[in-house]
Amino acid sequence: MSKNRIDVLFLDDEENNLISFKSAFRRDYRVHVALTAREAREILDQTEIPIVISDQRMPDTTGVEFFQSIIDTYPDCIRILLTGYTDIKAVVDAINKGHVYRYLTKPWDEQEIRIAIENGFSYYNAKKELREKNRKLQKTNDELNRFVYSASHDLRAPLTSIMGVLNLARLEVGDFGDDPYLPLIDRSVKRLDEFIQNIIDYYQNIRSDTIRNEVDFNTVVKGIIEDLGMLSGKNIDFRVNISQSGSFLGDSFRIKTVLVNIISNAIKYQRPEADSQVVSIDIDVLADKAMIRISDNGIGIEAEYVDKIFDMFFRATQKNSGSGIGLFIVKEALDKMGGQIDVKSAVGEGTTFSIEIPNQV
Amino acid sequence: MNEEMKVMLVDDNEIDLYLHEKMLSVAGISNDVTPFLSVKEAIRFLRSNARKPGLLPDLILLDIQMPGLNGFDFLDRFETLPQPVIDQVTIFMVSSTLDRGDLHRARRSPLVSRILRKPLNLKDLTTAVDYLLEERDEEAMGRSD
Repeated sequence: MSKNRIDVLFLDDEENNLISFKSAFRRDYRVHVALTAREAREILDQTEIPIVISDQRMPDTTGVEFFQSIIDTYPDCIRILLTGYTDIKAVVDAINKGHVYRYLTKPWDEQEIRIAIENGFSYYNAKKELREKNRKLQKTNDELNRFVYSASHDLRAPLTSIMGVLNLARLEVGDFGDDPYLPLIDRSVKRLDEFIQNIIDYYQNIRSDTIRNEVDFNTVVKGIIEDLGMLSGKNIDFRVNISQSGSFLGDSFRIKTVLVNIISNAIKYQRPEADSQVVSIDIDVLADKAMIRISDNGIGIEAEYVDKIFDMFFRATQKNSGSGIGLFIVKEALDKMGGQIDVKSAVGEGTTFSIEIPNQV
Repeated sequence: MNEEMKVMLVDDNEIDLYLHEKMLSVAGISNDVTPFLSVKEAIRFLRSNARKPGLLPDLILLDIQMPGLNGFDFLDRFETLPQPVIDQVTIFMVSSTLDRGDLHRARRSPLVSRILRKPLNLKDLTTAVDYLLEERDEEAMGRSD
C-alpha cells in the first residue's frame, strides 16, 4: 500500500484474539497489539495512534476503565469497545464514562470493524484539523489585537505632542488669537485622539479580565463631568442625582468606560438651538445592582437606527464627530460585567439610556 | 521654598521636552530645567551629583514609554541611589499611555507622587506643583517644631 496506513491498537487479554485480529487487518492497517492495559499505554506513549479497540472483559481491568484512564492524555483518539456479552451496564458505562465512538459485539464482523476504523479515522482527522485551525485562528486573532493595541499607542504619542503644541499656542496668543487655521487643526486632532482612545478602550476591554473593586459613583461621575464638561466647551446643565448608601463592588475601569461614552454622547448630540442643554444622570445603587439613567434633550436618534447604534462603526448622524465605536464599546463592556442597556429616543426631543450593572458585593 | 525649583525632564521625544520646558516657564514654576533624552543619561547625572544637593533637581518629569530603558527602569535604578537623593527629588510621571497595566504600576510605585497625562495642561501641572510645595512646607514646619 502506497498511502500511509492507519495505526490501530488492539487490546485483548487473549493472545489468540490478538493473533487473529492481526492477521485479518495487517494488510490494510498498521496493527499494534497489547495483552494488558499497561502494554497498551506504553504503545500509546510511543506512537500516535488514532484508533484504539479494546475488549471489555479482561482480568486486570475492563475496557471502559482502560478508556477512562487514557481520555485525558489522548483526548483525540477514537475509542471502540468490543464485547461478547450483551451487558447493558457496560454499554451505558462505555458511552458515559469511556466516551466510546463505537460499541461492537463479539465475535467480530470484519467488515463492521473496517467501517468503524475508516469512519473513526475520518472523524479523528476532522477533529484534529478543526483543533489546528482553531489554534491558528486564535493566534492570528491575538496578533491582530496586539497589533491594533500597540499601533494605537504608538499613534497616540506623536498626537499628544501636536495637542501639546496647540495648548502652548493657545496659552501664548490667548485662544488661538486671530489664526483661522489652528482651531481647525485642533478640532481634527481631538477627533483623531478620541478615535484612538476608543480603540484602545475597546482592546483593553477584550484583553483584560474583569476586576472587582469599590466604586463610588459620586466620585466617578464628578470626575467625568469635570473632564468632559471642560473639553466640550459647551454650557451644559448637568442634573446629577446619585443615591448610594451601601457599597458597590464592580469593575471600576469598565464602569467608567460605559459612563464616559454615554455622557459624552449626551453632550455631543445636543441641539444648539435649544434654550438649555440638559444632561440628567440618575443613579440608584441597590444591594444587587446599580440602576443608571442618563438622559439628554438633544437631537435624538431616528427610530430606524435605534437597533443599530450598538453595532461597530455604525454612525446614525453626520452632524457630529463620532467614531462609531463608542456605544459598541459600551455594549461589550456591559456584556463582560453581566450588565444590560436599554435606549429610548425621540427625534428632536432627546435620548435616555437605562443601564443596569450587577453589584458584586 | 523661596529659591526657584530645579526640574529634570526625562523623555525621548524632543518636542515634548521643549513643550514641557516651555510649560514650566509659562506656569512660572521653573526656568531652571535640564532635559535628558534617555534614562541612562539622567541616572548618570543623578549618580555623579548625588552629594551635591545644589545640583540635584527638586522635581523630575518622567516619561513612561521610551526606547531601551523606560520610565519603570528609571524608577528601579533611582531606587538604588543614595537616600538623600531619593529624599530630595520628587517624581511625576508624564505619559500619553492609556494602558491600564502601566497606569496601575505607576500608581502603585511609592516613588511616583503623581501621574500627569500628555498633553500636559497648565492646570494639572500647577495643581500638582502647588500641592507638592504645600507638602514640603508642612514637612519643613514639622521639622522646625
